[in-house]
Amino acid sequence: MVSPYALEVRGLTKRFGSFVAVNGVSFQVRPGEIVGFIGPNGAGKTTTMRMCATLEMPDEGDVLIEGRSALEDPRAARRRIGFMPDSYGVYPSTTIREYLDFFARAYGLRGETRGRTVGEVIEFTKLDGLEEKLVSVLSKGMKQRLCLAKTLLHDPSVLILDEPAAGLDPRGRVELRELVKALGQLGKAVLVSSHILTELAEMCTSVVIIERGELRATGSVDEVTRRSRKRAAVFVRFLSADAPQIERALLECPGVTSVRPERGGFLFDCSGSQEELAVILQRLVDSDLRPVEFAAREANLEELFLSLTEGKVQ
Amino acid sequence: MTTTSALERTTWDGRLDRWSDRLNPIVVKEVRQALRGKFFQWTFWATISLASLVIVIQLLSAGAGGIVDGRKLFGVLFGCLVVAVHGLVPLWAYFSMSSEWEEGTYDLLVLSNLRPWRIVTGKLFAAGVQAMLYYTAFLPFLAFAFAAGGIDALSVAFVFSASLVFSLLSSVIALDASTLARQRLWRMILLVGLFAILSVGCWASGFAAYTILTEPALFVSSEFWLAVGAMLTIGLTLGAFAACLATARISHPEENVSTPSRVVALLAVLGLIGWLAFARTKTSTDTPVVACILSATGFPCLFLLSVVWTTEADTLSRRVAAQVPTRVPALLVAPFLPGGGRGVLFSFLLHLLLACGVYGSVSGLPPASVGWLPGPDGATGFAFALAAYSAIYLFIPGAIVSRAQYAGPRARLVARLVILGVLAFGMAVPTLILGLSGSDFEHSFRHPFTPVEGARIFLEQSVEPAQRATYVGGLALFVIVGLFANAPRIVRAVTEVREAAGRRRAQRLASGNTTEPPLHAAPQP
Ligand SMILES: Nc1ncnc2c1ncn2[C@@H]1O[C@H](COP(=O)(O)OP(=O)(O)OP(=O)(O)O)[C@@H](O)[C@H]1O
Ligand SMILES: [Mg+2]
Repeated sequence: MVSPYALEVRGLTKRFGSFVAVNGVSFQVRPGEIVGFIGPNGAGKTTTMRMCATLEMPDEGDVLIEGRSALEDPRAARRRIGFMPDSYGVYPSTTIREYLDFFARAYGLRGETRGRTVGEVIEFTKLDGLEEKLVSVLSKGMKQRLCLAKTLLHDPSVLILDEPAAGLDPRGRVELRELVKALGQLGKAVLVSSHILTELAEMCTSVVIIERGELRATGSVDEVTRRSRKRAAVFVRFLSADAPQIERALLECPGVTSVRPERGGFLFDCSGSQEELAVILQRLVDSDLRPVEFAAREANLEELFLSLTEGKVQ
Repeated sequence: MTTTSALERTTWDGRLDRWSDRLNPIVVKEVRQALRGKFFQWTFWATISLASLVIVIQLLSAGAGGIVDGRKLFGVLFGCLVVAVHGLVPLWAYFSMSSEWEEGTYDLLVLSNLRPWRIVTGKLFAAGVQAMLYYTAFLPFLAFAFAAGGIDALSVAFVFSASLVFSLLSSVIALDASTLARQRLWRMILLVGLFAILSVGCWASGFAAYTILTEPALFVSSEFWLAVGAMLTIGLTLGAFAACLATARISHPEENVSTPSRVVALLAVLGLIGWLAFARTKTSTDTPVVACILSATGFPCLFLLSVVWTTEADTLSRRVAAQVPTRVPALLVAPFLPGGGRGVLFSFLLHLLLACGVYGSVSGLPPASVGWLPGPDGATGFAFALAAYSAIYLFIPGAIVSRAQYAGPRARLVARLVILGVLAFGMAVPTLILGLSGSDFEHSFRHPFTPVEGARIFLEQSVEPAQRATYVGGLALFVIVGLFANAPRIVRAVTEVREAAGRRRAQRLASGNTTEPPLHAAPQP
């Protein structure tokens, strides 16, 4: 049986004592797909990813790698998975080349293939020229790239990257994004978690949103947005600085249910119908708040995240 | 550089590369890290300096007196070496394994294609390489002492080989200890315990080496070689168990980690029996004594191992179920597969095998010449009594706690503690009662709940045959009760294996001849 999915998670549940860290989570990733894995701190992202990577045993459910159960054959699964943990160490007194050479040997690469593969991943992750540097003195960004290079050595078909962008500077993040996109184009299934949602929005083909161990939504960014928010968000900015008065005025407008300050203005939500928007705009113009900007917002991942999750840290 | 020499170099490099391909990658990595690490560098140069100091002091004192005492000098130098290879090298092995957790490199390591046993053996070989470095570094010093005279070459060769074996054994035990706990506090406690064990080991091996070096006459006595054989058997078994346990602890929970330890135990029992048979060819009068010593050490070890095997989770993991052999009958395979019910079957068979082995190796021998020494009948009775006690204390409490199904690691730990607790109570409580009711010290231990009394009944020739017969009947009855109590579990355990094999056969028929996907496609980036 050939599965259309490179990674399939079925009803995954993990308990630590009586605490349920992950509760019946299911989703799929196709080859070439880049899926963003989103959730607040403690949502269970790392736990889920570690179960996918066979490092943690689920209490219930299964993980299928290319249609084969990772529980039934963890060794075969490990050969197809590349996992980049959120925190990891490197061997001291080892250079980048030695480090990659060791893992290439550990993955069973022999002779010329090994030398060539190490060279290729070094080039791909732009570590060339640094081969003789000791891994223990690498900067955070270089270490992340080294770990990514290590993850690619055995040419896995499923990549599980746990917060690969954490601690990277803006340039590092852009570079990482390009690398991940390139990997998707090579046909790899990528599951990537991150807190930097704008980052994810630009590279992901779809998202999986999880909170307190439970799935909130899955699908492409647009799809999830459409499904999760039938209401529109509108950004307004005023010359007046009287925030309480502004909030009060907005909440009094027809159809407005919530208001929150954002970047020098306010974001409120409403049903999104043109009629209603016209009425609200008219009201604001008539008031003495003096609006200078009024724009219906394109949905973005950040809002989606905030609207789908309750922000409760467990 | 000329083209030819460049070409030579590349072919040479290529050859070296191809050769290193065969090596366990862990060995290369560990040796490289050790040589660059502070621990090895410091301890290495410290021991070398110490050895140099010893030589200098000897030379200075000899300058006054005239001659260097080669034997004494060799002994002291070998003492330094013993501290290094039996103390420092195993400690390094402990640190090298625990650093994988401390430094957070463990996850990436186990995710690689390296099988857990290769990780353990890789670290062990790396420790062996370090030990060899020490031996090499000490060679000039020891050669100097040897040249001073007083020692024969055979003793030196023997002591060196034994020391290497002991070093590897200490290292594998250290590796095993390092996989026991992942929390820092427990690691510290383990380290203290390991330090104590290694210190005792250093002292004992140093003492043994000194005795052997100073008494070359030992080599001609057959008892010496019998003792060496026994110690080698025990050492190898211990080392193999330590390696099995360490491997099991770093394996994926779905993997089969029970079969290796069962196979090692079977081999160890066969080894003991073989060795006993060999002992019989050397000494016919002492064989029953040797058999009793073997039973007294072998059965308690079997008991402890069986506590683990009989309390494993009863159902096969999916991974193991998918690997059950389809061609061999289930009844033959089942005892070797993980699971508590299968563990009961296996430990029963193993107890029986060892007891029968003892019987086979002493039967037909003449009765003991000295009254208080055990004869062949005594040794056989002793072995069967110990086997019966072990089985009873395993199977009866085991059958009761197995109702808990050994759901999680904690339930299994509780089940193990219950079995050990029942044994402790069975031995201690009647003793206490007898002691409090005014029996003298010796008699308070004489109650049928303790294996000590069972052993006495069969060893002491003054015991009435009727009393012995009562014990035989009682022990047999309880063993049968224990087996019956576990019978449903055993049947379930074997049925499960048969069904798993049947499912696999059906699957294979349904899918035709499926082939595994290739392990490694060409790299793409
Ligand atoms: N080994 C463990 N023992 C007990 N609880 C744990 C363990 N590992 C994780 N948890 C708990 O499970 C929950 C999920 O943790 P997890 O690390 O998966 O969250 P996360 O989504 O990755 O969070 P973050 O965004 O902060 O990385 C947390 O509440 C955490 O405390
Ligand atoms: Mg996390």
